[in-house]
Formats: sequence, C-alpha cells, structure tokens
Amino acid sequence: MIFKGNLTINKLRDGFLKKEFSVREVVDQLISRIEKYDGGINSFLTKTSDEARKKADGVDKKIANSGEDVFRESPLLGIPIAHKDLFLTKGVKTTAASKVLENYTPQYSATVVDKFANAGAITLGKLNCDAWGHGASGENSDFKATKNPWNKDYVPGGSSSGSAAAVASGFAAATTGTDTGGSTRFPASFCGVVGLKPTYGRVSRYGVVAMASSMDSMGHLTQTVEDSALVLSVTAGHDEHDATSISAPVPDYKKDLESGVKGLKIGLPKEYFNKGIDEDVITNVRTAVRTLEEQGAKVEEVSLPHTEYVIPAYYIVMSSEVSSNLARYDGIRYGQGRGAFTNEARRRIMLGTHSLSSGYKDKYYGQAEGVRTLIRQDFEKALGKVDVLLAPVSPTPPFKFGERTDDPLKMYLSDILTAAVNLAQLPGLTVPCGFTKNNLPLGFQLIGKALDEATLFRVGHAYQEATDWHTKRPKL
Amino acid sequence: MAKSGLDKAQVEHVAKLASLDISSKDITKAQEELSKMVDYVGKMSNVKVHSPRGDAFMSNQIQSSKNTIKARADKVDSSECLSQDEATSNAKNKHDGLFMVPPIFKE
Amino acid sequence: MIKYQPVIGLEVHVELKTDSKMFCACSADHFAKKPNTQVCPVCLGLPGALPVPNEKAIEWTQKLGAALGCKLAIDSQFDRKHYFYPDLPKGYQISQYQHPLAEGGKFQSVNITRVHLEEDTGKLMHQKVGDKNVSLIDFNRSGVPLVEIVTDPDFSSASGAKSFARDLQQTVRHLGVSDADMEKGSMRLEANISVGDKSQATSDKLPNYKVELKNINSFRFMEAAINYEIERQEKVLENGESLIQETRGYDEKTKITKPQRTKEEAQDYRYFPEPDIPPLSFSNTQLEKVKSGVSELPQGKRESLVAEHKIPEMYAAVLTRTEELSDYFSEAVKIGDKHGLVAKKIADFLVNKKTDIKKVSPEGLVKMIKGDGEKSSLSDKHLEKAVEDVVGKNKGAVADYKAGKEVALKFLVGQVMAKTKGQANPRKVQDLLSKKLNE
Repeated sequence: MIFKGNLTINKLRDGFLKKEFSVREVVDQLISRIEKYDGGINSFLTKTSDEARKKADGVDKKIANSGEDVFRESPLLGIPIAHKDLFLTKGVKTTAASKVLENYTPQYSATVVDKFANAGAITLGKLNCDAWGHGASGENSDFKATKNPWNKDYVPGGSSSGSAAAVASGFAAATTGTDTGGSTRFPASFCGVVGLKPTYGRVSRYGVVAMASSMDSMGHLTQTVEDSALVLSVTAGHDEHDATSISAPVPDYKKDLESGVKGLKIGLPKEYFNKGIDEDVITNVRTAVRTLEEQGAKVEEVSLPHTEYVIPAYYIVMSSEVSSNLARYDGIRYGQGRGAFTNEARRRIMLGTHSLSSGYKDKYYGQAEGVRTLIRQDFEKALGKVDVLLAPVSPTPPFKFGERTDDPLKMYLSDILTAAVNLAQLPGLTVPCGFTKNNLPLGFQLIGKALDEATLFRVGHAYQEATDWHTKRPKL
Repeated sequence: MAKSGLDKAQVEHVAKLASLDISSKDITKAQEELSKMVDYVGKMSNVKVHSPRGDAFMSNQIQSSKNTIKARADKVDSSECLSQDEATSNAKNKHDGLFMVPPIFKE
Repeated sequence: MIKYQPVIGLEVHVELKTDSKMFCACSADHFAKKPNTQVCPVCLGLPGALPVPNEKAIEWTQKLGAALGCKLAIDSQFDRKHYFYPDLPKGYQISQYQHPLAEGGKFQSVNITRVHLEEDTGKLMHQKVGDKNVSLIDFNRSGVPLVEIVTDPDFSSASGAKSFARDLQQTVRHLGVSDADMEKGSMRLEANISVGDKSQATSDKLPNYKVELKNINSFRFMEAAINYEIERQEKVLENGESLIQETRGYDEKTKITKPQRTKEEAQDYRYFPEPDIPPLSFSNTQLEKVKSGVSELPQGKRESLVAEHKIPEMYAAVLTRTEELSDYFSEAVKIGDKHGLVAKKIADFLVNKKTDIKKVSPEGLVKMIKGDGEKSSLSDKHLEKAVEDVVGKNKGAVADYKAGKEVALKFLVGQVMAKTKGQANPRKVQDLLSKKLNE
C-alpha cells in the first residue's frame, strides 16, 4: 500500500507534487482495493480499469513535464473518481441500474462527466444506485443491492447508494450523485461522508438520466467539506445545453471557506425536530449544534409550517415528472422496452400518469404545485431570518435490509426531511456528525439560500475543523 | 377518512395511458398500491392554495428571466450531430439506417 | 326538408424554414436527406437530453401571429403533450397548450383561435423487408419547428376554406418563414366538419360532434373532401341517424372519406408545463418590434396594386407572392412612369416572361420592355436561328399555317418567344416567321 489515510484531494495532490507516489500507483492501488472488497459491497456496476490506468500514465507524464502549474489548469488532475450510473458516459455502458438499459452504451457524455474529465480526473467506473434514482435505500437496484460498508446488514441509503459506499470504502476521492428528494444527502448520512445537493440549476443536468426535471440536482460525495467545495468549482456553471441552468457566475468557493461561524445565524426548523424523529438522531444533531455554538454561531428556532404536506406534494410532482421522463423508453431506439421496468418504476409511472390524467390533474398535480409554492415560501421566510438552516437528514438511523420494503409508503417517508429542499430548489449539504451505539454513521444537513453553497461550505468546514467524525473509515 | 381508491377499470386505464402491461394477476396488487398512494397524497387536498390548475405557469422555477438564458440563436452546430451508425447503435432492430418496428397500420 | 348549415374549422401546420431545429442545433433542412444523419441526442430522445428553444422560431411564430391579427402573449410557455407512437421519440411532443405565443386574431374575416409553436415528429415509412411487413423510422424531421394555426369553426363552405388556405399560404410565404409547400409537407391541412340545422347556426350553438378530416394533400383535395363530407353528413341526418365524433381520411382515388382506425376513447394528452424550459416572457418593446416588422400583407398590397395601377387581380396575386417581387414591381413602375411605360405593361411582362429579377434590375427591365434591348443579349443572328429551329421542329404547325390556319402562326410565334426566353420582339418574330413560311 503506497497511499495511507483518507482519500482527500489535497493529500493526493500533495503526494503527486512531492513525488511520494505517482497517479498510476494510486490508481493501481484503488483498483486492487476495489477488486478485493467491492465484491462484498457492490458499489460498482461497471469498472473502467484499463482506461483508468492509461489515463493515469498520461497524467503522470504531464506532471513530470509541467510541474505545479498543471494543477491550476486542471484542478482535479489525477484524482480518482466514479460516476453514478445515471450519468451518461460515452462508450461506457450506462444502465441507470435498470434492466431496461442493461445493454445501453451512450453516444455522448453528460456535461458533468466532460467537466470532470477536462479537469483531469480519472474515472474508475460506474456506480450502483436505485434503478432510475427511485429509492432511499439502494434496494431498488435491478442488479445486486449495494451494502453499507460500515455494516453489511444495513443499507447504505439511496438512491446514490454506490456513490456513498464507494467514498466511505476509500475506493474513490469523489463520486457523483443526483439528488431529487434527498438521494445524495441521505446516503451520505448513512455512510458517514459529505454529500452536496447544489441549488437546482447550479450544475448542468444535460446527459444525466432524468428523474424529476424540476428537482433533479447533480451533486457529489466526498470525504471532506473542503473537497466538496473544490469539486463544485469544477461542476458548477451555465451550460447552453440546459435551458434551466443558471447563468449567474460561479463564486470562488474557497474564499470564505475558512471564515468560521462567528456571528452566523443558524436556524433550526422545529418541525424537523419533532417527536416523529428518532431520539438518538435528535440528540446527536443537537450535540453538533452545540459544537457550532461553541464556535460562535447564533442558533434560533424557525418554523416550516407546511412540512406535513411535503411528502404528498413531493410524490405527486415527482411521479408526474417521472412518468413523463420515462415515456421515451419504448425500446425502439435503445433499451429493452417497457416490459423490463421493475416494480418501483412501475409504481411511480402509474401514480404519475394518474396524477396528470384528465379529471385528476387539477386535484393532484395542480394542487401539489400549489402546495409546493407554499413550501417554497416557508423556506424564504425562514431563511430571511437566518443565514442557514440545520436539521437531521434521516428520521431514523440507518436501517437493515428488508425493513422498509414491504410497504412502499414506509420507504417514501425516508424523504420526509430532505424532499422539501428539492421542492424549494435550494442547496443542501450533509456533514457526518457521529455514530449510533452500534457504530452506524449519523449526519446533519445544512440548508442554504439559493446559490449560497458558499455558506454551507463555510459552516460545514468549521464543524469539521472542530471534530474528526469525517476522518473515521469503516473496516472493510 | 373517505377512501378515494381506484377500481380495476381505472387502473387498467392508467396502465394503458402509460403503455405498461399489467397481467390479470398483478392488477389487484397494482390497484391496492395505487389506491393506497392516492389516498395518502389526498392529505394535501384540504390545503388552500392559489389557483390549483395543472396548466398554470411553472411558478417554482428558481430562475427568473434574469437568471437563465432560455433560447438559443438559430445556428446549425454539427458537432453534436450523430452519424447514422451512432444514432442506430443501440437499436434492437434496424434496416438500412432506419429504425425498424412491427408494421403500424396507416390510419 | 330541413336545411343544414355546414360548420367548418381549419387546423393548419406550417413547417418553419429555420436553419436549425426547434430544440437543438441539428439542421432543419431534412427533405430527402440520408436517413438518421441529421439527429442528435435531443431530437433522437436519448436518455439525459434536454431541449433548448430556437429564438428565431419563436420570433417567426410571433410574426405570423401578428400578421394574422392576433394578440401576442407577454407570458408564454411550452407544455408536454403525451402519447405513444414510434415516430415520437420522447413519448411526448413539446408543444403549447394553455399559454400559446399568439391568440385571438382575425384573417380574411375568419377568427383565428390561436397560433402556437411545437416540434415535428420523425417520419414513418411502411414497406416490406424480406417477406415481412414492417414500419421504418427516420428521425431527420424530428424536432423541426412547426407552427400550428387553428381557426374558429367560421367557414360554411369548402370553397371558403380553400380560398382562406390559399391566402394563408401566400401570407406565410410572403413573411418568408416557410415554403408552405403542400406537396413537400411544409404545409399541412386538417379540417373539422360538422353540420347543424339552420336554427342551430343562428343560436350560436355548435353541433355536439365534429368530424376531423386528415390526410389532405392539396387544396383541391381539401375542397373535394369537405364537400363530400358535408353531403355525407347531411344524408346521415336526413335518414334520422346521428353522427359521431370521429377521424376520417380522404381517399383521393375513390374520392370519399373513410373512417380511420377508431380509438376507443379520445386521447388524454396529460398536458403539463414543460419543466425543462422556463416560461418565456416578452417585453412590450419586443412585441412592438415584432408587430412593426410585419409589413403590409399581400392581400392589402394586392388590393392597392389593382386600385392604383389598374392591373388585373390575377397579375396582382403573382406580383405579391414575395415581398421581394412586390418591392421590385413598385420600383419598376416608378421608373417606367418616367419613360411613359404603364404599370400594366410592366406587370404583363413580369408575369408572362418569367424575368429573373435577381439578374435584371428594375431599370434594365424597363429598358427591355421599351425595346432598347440594352440588357437583351439577343442578336439578329440568334433570332434567325431560333426561327429556323422552330420551323424545322414544328412541321405540323407549318403545314397548318400553309393550309390557312392563322392560329398556327401564333403558335409558332409563341414557340420562338419561348426559345428566346421572351427576349425577342414578338412583332419582329411574326414578320420573320411569315417571311420564312412564305418562302
């Protein structure tokens, strides 16, 4: 083993520069690690080891010839990453973890995939997830389900199950995820890693299998908040291929990263701390809040009064858009046809189709969009009083396989603390903040104003400077 | 609470609109699941909202006209264009560069 | 016997001749291109692809709406229209439902319900591969911008609908936004026909059904199809039966309408706002600019040409086919006036001699007509050769003339005029021919 410790971008870059190890050596080590351990975790669906090695060799030559400047041009040079299998990768099988696309080789790459490649990152492969992004546990993959690296009897969370497990397992320094109802923040919490959901439109959706077009956010998972900020600097920005992508300039996310939380106001939405939430989760999150208060943050209670309508509104809007976005899978130009859709996808297509159908549209879709506006206004009001909100991510600690699969509704309720952020199109960041008694990760989420990821990073980083949860790694 | 469940005919209708096959043995389960979900989401029907019309403008886009560039200039860009081989590379059935399907009777 | 009143509305689709497609940068010039070579992830409906609207297509739709007297929307939006069909790659068409770009207009005394923008589908072909019947799909046309124009059911005759369609075609061409060619499919017509009794008509109540007529490939066929359909419907009612809402197609060979495959129930398109494209909003300044850019319409121009220059209406119709031609004519008339040349003569020349206005300037045209022949490259030698050729090739007409048929001479003169592309002086031609034939 030539590389020890947490797989962070800074450590890797340092090592490359000081010639402690080469990119090729790191990539070889990770490929071996994945070979050795991923059989028991199932985070990868496709491995691109040969291409990774080739690219690593090229990068090593580049570093040898150009020196330090080359890292400024290519901020992720030599950094090993992997993509959730919803991100199209040209020439590399992309399945959405669904039998429908089990043999699909894309003819183009997602904008985000190109951005990572242009920044010099090295892709190790494609990551497992709930098929089509439908799920909160990873159990809905049409292939083998990903396991939680901390304890294989437990789910890693979903839908970006493979993405979270891969970072937790030390297989990659960063992985991409999507977050439509919590699918990046939720598994990040279950796996003890950092997960960012950017503001809707901050990162291009072009080339990513669409789930709910008005909420899909292209996020990523890393071991530290600092790395998360660095990755966002690469992925954020306007894309002419995405009419919903935001044209506002991308700020320097490093600028205020170290500014600390003195004087910052943190709001705790009371509805996110009520009796429906597991006691251990609440206790743990309140401890984290105290840590931030010790750092100088001011904490106050706020209210998001329409919280009880979040899940119904979310599921109507989301399933309506899902039913529409999955209409293209007719098996003619690609894919196996609609008979290959499995249970959860079929459920959501049915619910969405019904919600949009004649005689029901105003009652369901129209009403849900109306409720959505109220939820968005809740956040505007609350965030008008404070700089950022803080809350638990999951109503419960990580759960075991099979615990929620008998009743789809049970699984849907996992989204109760995350989905509102998607309805309101705001940014959210999961930060690990401890463990349960049986050593399963817990996390809290920060929710920010639109386009204010910088404040999320600032608060999250300050927390990580004062704690060391993020340095813990599971024993595989 | 009043049950707003769907009957079998309604479920079949939805499946037809969605181009999903439901076998007769699955239809009961689909009916149960769909009815349960529809019931659950009915929770929000008593919330007073502005104009609950499904055709209303998308009001929830964070982008105001200042923040997004919605349209593009009328220019051909062949860099995105796929070759015939690429376009048909994933088709199960094709013929002479065309996608092939069972005959559709001209209406 | 109860008298019936036909109630007819039209739905017209016009393919815009933009350079690129509606939602992607593929070329929109799809006619007769190698199949599936002008496609990209967006118009092929690949996973992850996203639509970005063509701003010129939006502008041209507004222009057309303004030309038809419509109100242009300050706020507009695209919607998804869902149905499954092999030529529809996304399983939905991006169209407009509740907030079209233009609505509430009037054209040729007909109320225009709406003018909206959408994307075209791919092309389905049916043929045999080996010994199997199959359908083949080419997506080159998928995503090309289409404008849909819907009228109120204001027509009461087939001829009225036909003349409206003709005028609409001319307007569209005049604006330069589409070739509106029925044969090439860049203009498509559908008619909705029902028949109510006269009392219904006066009470403003519409009949409780309508028959949609599709597959109309020309104005002539549209007129025939509508007339057939009116008759058919009247017969049904007279027999005491009732008519149902249905779709019928016109069969050119048998000259009747036939019911198309009936769908058990009306399509539920599940329209909802297109989440991939934020709502469009326009300033009053923008809209005013569009409206002012729509110069005088052909119909108005036609009328003023006839009134001002005393030229036949038929000539006026030809001369207002394009803005370019009508401007050219106006210019030529101005110059011709200085040389004592009447507008009618200029119109006659332009209409009958097929002058290439790109090659001949208005001044040159006037000179040509006056016989100065400055731009004419026809030498006497050429003219004599033309006469010789025509006489040599039309032995039958020569014989007729020699047998006393004066009209044969006129025919031969015409042949020489055609051969010299109208550049010869007809009187001179007649003289030369007479001389030659009397040799």
